[in-house]
Amino acid sequence: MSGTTTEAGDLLAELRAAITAAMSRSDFVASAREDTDTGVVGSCWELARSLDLPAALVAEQHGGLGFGPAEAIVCLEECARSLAPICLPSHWGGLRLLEAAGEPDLDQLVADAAQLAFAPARPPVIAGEPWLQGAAGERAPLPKAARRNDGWSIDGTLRWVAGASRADALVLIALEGETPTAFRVSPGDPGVTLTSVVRFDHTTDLAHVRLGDAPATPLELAEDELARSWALHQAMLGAEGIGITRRCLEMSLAHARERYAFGRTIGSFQAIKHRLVEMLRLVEMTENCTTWFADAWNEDLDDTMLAGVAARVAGDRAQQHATSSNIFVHGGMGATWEHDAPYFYRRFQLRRLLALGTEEALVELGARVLDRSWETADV
Amino acid sequence: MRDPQLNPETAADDGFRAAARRWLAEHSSQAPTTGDRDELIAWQTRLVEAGLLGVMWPREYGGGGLGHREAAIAQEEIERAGVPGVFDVLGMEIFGPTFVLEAGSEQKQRYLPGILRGEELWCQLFSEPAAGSDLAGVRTRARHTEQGTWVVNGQKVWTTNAQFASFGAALVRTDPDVPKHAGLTLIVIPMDAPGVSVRGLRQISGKAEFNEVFLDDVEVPDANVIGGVGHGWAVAMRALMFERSSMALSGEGMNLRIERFANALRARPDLRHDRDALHRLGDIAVELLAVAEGSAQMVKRLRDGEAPSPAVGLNKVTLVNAAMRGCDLLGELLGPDVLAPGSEWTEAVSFLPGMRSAGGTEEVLRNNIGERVLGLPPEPRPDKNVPFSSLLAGGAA
Ligand SMILES: Cc1cc2nc3c(=O)[nH]c(=O)nc-3n(C[C@H](O)[C@H](O)[C@H](O)COP(=O)(O)OP(=O)(O)OC[C@H]3O[C@@H](n4cnc5c(N)ncnc54)[C@H](O)[C@@H]3O)c2cc1C
Repeated sequence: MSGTTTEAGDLLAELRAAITAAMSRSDFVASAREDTDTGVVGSCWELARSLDLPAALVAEQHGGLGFGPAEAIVCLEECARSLAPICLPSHWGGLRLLEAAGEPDLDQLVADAAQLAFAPARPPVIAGEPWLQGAAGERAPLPKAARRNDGWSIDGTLRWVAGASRADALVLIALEGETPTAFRVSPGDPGVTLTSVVRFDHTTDLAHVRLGDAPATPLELAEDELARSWALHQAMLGAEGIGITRRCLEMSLAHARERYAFGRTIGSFQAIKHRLVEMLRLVEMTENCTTWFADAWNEDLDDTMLAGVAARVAGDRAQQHATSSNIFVHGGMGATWEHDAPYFYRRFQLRRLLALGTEEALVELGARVLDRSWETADV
Repeated sequence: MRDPQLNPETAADDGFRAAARRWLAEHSSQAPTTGDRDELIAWQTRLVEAGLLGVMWPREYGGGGLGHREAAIAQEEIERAGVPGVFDVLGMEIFGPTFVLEAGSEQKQRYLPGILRGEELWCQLFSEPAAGSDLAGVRTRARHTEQGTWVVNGQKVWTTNAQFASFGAALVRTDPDVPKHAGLTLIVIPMDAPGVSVRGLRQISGKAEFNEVFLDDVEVPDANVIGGVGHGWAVAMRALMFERSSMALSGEGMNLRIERFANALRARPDLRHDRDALHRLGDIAVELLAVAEGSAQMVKRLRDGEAPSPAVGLNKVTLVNAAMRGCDLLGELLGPDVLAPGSEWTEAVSFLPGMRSAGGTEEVLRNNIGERVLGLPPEPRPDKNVPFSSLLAGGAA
């Protein structure tokens, strides 16, 4: 997949085709239906591993594919489009911080395709506000880190961490006094309690992590790097939103062209047509934001932060409309267990609430836009 | 993480960009800072002479004779310099480009240089009282005479810039006995011809920027027909396509960036702690940011030779709706002074509702994109395959 063509667009298109082809060999919607019935949460880690996806963002000298954000976005879009049960934003977020901190066993983790989970945390966006983590409705504080004789220990709770129940290592941000610091924690260590949770969507592995005097390794990272990890996480959620929305649009279009009512195809009715155009409008907006994010990533921290949250909000808005309209366009059929549409809806119903939730992202976006205005006024 | 080779920005070393940037650096201080029409036209002409506007127009008519790439670079550099660009949108961005593709060589020789020199402004005589969204329903009638001229009678409406224009591009009916789209022709009307009267129409703001145009026995030669008799619909569609991509790209021109709304909210420093207000600002910001980024990315794609998709029309929908909500929010947070006479927001609140219709209404754009981009079937059209005259007889009047 690491082609040699110099034309960026061609390379991305090739990458997209490769992932789509690989994903289409499994029917993840059918597995989601089955998993929902039996109450388990699916995983396609082995498939991802066969595509080298787990280490896609790691530099080539450490055994990865050396992908940047533009390539990562394509992978996320296509995995989400197929409803692949995998939490790449969490895994990639954790692995990237280990790489940035120069962790000595990185090559080994890559070779073993170890699963990482990252508990994303938001830097303060309103004056006086602390770093926050958790799901919608919580705005929970960071865990606390303290030095002990032989190293570090962490106390606190991280709830709703995606990918955590299967993780070989956890990456989290904790407060050392007032200073946010990234730490690495081993789920098997004493003092670490993981509780798997399933909420409505059986494609998302979730766990609560309780840390009681849990041993931890600090990662040497600048605070900007921690801030960027939040922006990257949100941009990745936006990219997944593109895949989900595109798939809902494809399903709805196919149905709207075929289903007859009142002597014509329902796609000719304006009310249906405009709904589908709205999906297109929202997904294109999200794509504008993720492209912006990929361009900003190595250029400008403020733009990166702004583009990341914009991508998340746009992606959530797109999915909100697309996942429920997709059911609606399919009529009564769309509201059944047998239909595919509900599994995309289920997934979004849960995911919109993770990483502080969509509405909190809107507050962040407003705060960043207003801050930027004050900064230009101050100079 | 990003491979610099994959970044077309750094891959290309551009003499054209450097030259454009140099010229702008030297001359930007002379750019007009007020809305004065004459100054803006003079500045547009200087940009044309410097090779930064009319970049793709053929050289023989005063254009740059270059490609999409250079045109897009010039546009990026003009925006980067923060100076005004095109003033005569109708000539420079809609009819000039349409004529390059559709007009005969004598017609190009006659019209294109005047547009580029800023000496002859244009207006669009398309809409009529009974034909706006349903543009193919125009009734303005042109009859051919034995002397090889056309005599035009009818009324146009909402014609922007008719009061300043030298020419109007009129969509007229030349054959009522064929289906509505087939009987149309595009004819150039000199706005000073006998029988043309322009009456200003006051808009919501109280100002009259658009007009009613009455055409009473206006006689024009055969040479004024663009693209052939009976082919007016195709030419008009070409013009509308240019209009929509121009509107999508010129969101900047309308000055509706999120920064402007955020700057206004600095009047209330307490809002920086007001989660509800921040939430509402974020709700508008996502739309305006996505449009601004979308336009910038579209310029890059045009630069790489990609044709704009009809989906560009959605940019206008997003921009106008979000900006209207932005104005609502300013009112609620800053109070009635937002609507004070002469306030910049009074102007925006006044012109935005009309923008929802200008260049195609939201519903019409969504129909168009649903059909042309998503491939959905059109609604049944009882008016499509019958002679236009029978529609009128059937009571459509
Ligand atoms: C500021 C401004 C500048 C303009 N400048 C020009 C100009 O320079 N030259 C020019 O020729 N025209 C100009 N126009 C006219 C503009 O193109 C028309 O207003 C527009 O096409 C709508 O037509 P209409 O006003 O007849 O409204 P109508 O077509 O009567 O529409 C009325 C309502 O019906 C809805 N509607 C119509 N058809 C459908 C449908 N098929 N499905 C669903 N809903 C439908 C519309 O969306 C709208 O809400 C301008 C308009 C404005 C506001």
